[in-house]
Amino acid sequence: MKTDPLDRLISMSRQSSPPDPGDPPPFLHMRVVAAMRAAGETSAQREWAVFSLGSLPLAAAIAVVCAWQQPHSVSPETTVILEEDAAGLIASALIDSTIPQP
Amino acid sequence: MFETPDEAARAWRTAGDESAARWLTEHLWPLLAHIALRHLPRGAAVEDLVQESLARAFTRIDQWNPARPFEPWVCTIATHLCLDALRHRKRRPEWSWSDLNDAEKSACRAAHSDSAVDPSVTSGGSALLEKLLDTLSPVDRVIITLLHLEQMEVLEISKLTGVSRVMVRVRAHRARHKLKKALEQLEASSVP
Repeated sequence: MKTDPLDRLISMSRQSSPPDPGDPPPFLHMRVVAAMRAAGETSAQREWAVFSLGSLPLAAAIAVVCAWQQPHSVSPETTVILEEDAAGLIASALIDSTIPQP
Repeated sequence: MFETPDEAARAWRTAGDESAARWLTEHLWPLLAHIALRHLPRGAAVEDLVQESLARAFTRIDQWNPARPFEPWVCTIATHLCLDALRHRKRRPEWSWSDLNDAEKSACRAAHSDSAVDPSVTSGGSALLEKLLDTLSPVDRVIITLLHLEQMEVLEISKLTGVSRVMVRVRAHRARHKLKKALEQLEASSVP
């Protein structure tokens, strides 16, 4: 029975000696540590980027809430006082305009 | 210093012991380099892949379950990095008879003959198979390598690659079909 050509090729590949990785390269440990630090810095930068991006809608939301609360932040008493002041100013202006100047 | 990789990994996990990381780097180099040499095409940066695998394992050591062995966990990381590296390759080549060197041509002829395989053509056979594996998708390539060259069980391959056992079988079957077809086409194009 004829063997499958692919199986014969796979068998040849198994028989050939696999490439030898040899000794670990010098300073591999240092390179691993450096790669870990670089990865840590990159993730920290990503966090900052996410924070800065997230801060925009947060700021917008705070601004909307502040704008919505603005009319309610002035108490009715303050409004009355302000209205009285405005009325006084208008009256004094009218009086000033009606009295003839010397 | 350390007796087993698990012991060193625990020392790194609990106390961030630098000597444990150094020991693991030296101890795991042959295993991880073997994975990179098996899966990546010739000329690929094996050192870079081993370095990235170890850096990722050390950084994410909290995700390792100390009740399980450390080496298979690192091997899974290295295999996934190999898959990523293969996915980043721009295109998969298509080989023709004229692209093969003499050793690969001899191996192709030997594969199609009924006579016993001459040991002198085995290296050519290995190179030819690597060229054919280049034409497969990254996952198929890794599955065929693990199944036929590393002679692993389907369950092990499933754990390493994250592909279900059924899909490992299906993908291996389809990939074998593709390889057979490519080998037949090569042989057919050898006839002038």
